[in-house]
Amino acid sequence: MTGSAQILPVLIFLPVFLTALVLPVLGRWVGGRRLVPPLAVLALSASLAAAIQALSSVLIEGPIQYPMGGWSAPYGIAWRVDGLSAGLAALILTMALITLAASEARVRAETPRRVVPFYTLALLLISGLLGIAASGDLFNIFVFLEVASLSAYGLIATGGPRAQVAAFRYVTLGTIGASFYLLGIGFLYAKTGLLTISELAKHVPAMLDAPAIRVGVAFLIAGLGLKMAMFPLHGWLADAYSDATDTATALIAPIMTKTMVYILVRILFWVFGVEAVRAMFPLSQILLAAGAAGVVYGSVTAFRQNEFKRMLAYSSVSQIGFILLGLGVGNVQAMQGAFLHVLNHALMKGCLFLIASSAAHTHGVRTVSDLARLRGERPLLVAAFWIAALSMIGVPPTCGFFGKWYVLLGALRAGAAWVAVLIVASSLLTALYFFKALERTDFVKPARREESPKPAPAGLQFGMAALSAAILAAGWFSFPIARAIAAAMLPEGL
Amino acid sequence: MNVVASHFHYLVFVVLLLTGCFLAFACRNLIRKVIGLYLVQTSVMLFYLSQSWKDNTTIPILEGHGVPDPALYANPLPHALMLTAIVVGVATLGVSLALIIRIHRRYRTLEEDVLLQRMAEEDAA
Repeated sequence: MTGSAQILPVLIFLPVFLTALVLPVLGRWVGGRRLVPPLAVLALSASLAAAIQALSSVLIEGPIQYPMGGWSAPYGIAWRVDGLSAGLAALILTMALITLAASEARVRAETPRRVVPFYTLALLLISGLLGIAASGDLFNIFVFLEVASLSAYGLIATGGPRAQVAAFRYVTLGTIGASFYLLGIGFLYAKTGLLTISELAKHVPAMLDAPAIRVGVAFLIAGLGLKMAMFPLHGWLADAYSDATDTATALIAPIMTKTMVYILVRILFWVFGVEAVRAMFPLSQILLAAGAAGVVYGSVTAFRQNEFKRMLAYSSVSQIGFILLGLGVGNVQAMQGAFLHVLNHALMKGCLFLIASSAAHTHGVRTVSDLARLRGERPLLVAAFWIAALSMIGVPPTCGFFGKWYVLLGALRAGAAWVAVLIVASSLLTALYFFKALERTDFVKPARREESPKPAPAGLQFGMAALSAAILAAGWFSFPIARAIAAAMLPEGL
Repeated sequence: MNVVASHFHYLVFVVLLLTGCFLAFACRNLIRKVIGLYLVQTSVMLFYLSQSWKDNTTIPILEGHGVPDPALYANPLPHALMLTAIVVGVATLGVSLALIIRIHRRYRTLEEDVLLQRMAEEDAA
């Protein structure tokens, strides 16, 4: 593809990245400091426009390649946007835009002296994730992976002393994960001499018996598993999500682990190919086992949590497990369901963490029992909570049902009935802990009020309303979205 | 013995990798964990660099004119990749040390078990 559209992969990445570099300079002056949040939102909007343009271009005309510096593959670093990349980039940018636009008041309340560094790190994180989505070269993905991870460590650490301990644990495990990823692509490079995904795809499927390739895949799965909180490598996630500031969690939780799943999908299904994944024992079995264990462990542990954000964090472990289940089953419906669930879960978790943020701001809600303070006081928040919670459980017509439905269909078609049973069981478990929380927030006025609540920030109200509407819209349009996924985003050979 | 001699660099890589992982997971002192992380990253760098060597080649610096014969030079690409990895390692080191400074300032300890104990006491209070 030539012409002006060819530069779109870079145009998705540049506005956010360049603004991230400009913000600290701007923050030196008092006037500049007030400009920082709107400028961040503006940069995200510019990138989102490019991402939507790229998505429509890719859906009509096919993938866009941009050879960075004019060096074409296999010598140069390839930037490549296909259906999956563009979809992921659009999702990342939409969630980041809504979260940052909604949370300015909350950021100023939680970290009053660190507003500019917060926005800088947030934009660097998003630019790293966009680089991962738009990159067609495995080592380039590593570089952006580290950019995003280091920014995430910093973002989480802005939350105070407990958050710094959680961030240190995340640094330790995350760095080992990234090093294992680098080692994995090192083994692939050792055997083929290539780093570009499209070039590797021509040579790797013929070399599946080589020990170097098998060791490389093992390290890749271990490294990316650490990054995406695949069971049993999920230990860093609960503390990191619950101890960080509410806005940092709302920003990181919907998109970070999903992008790591995207890297795994790219490597397994594009570099190795669908046939190779089915042929290489025990690749699908590992995905299925880790996914199933994550689903069960996450749901059971979430039920036992008292802190609201910790409950949501363990719920995320469960949902990542569910996505891995879909990848492990590996047929068209299951992959449709897994990708659909990436979209849906981002919307749901983003909404839930914004709800947590708003409830903490006005009523100091930290634990599930504290949710009772919201009775009769925050109708919009409670309505959004009902929608998001029903969607997490998987009640139609909210979007959460449809991701699970497709994976269930795929599992039954593949003869893996136990996966279908597990999905239903996990939905029941999810219902348990969400109903426990919902029970506190029903519309009965409380008997007494403790302290006068602070006014609800308008941005967060808007954010929760927008995401709840998006949850319902994604549910309403599930079938067209699933068809678009099947048409443009699935790997070849399913 | 010949196998060991010809694969010596891979053995060193494995020893460094495992030592680094052990330090990062098993040590109680936070600084030692950071050292372990850095060892893991260094071992990966050694792995890449050991792939760039070919027998009877020289360092990949062009001198003079004319098209060079690639068979005469070692592979420069892993070195270029590892320059980036070194930068990433330094950045990670910086972030971890900054976190350790903050943790020490607040909890006055660098041992993980004492740290967790003091955090638990603070939660109970």
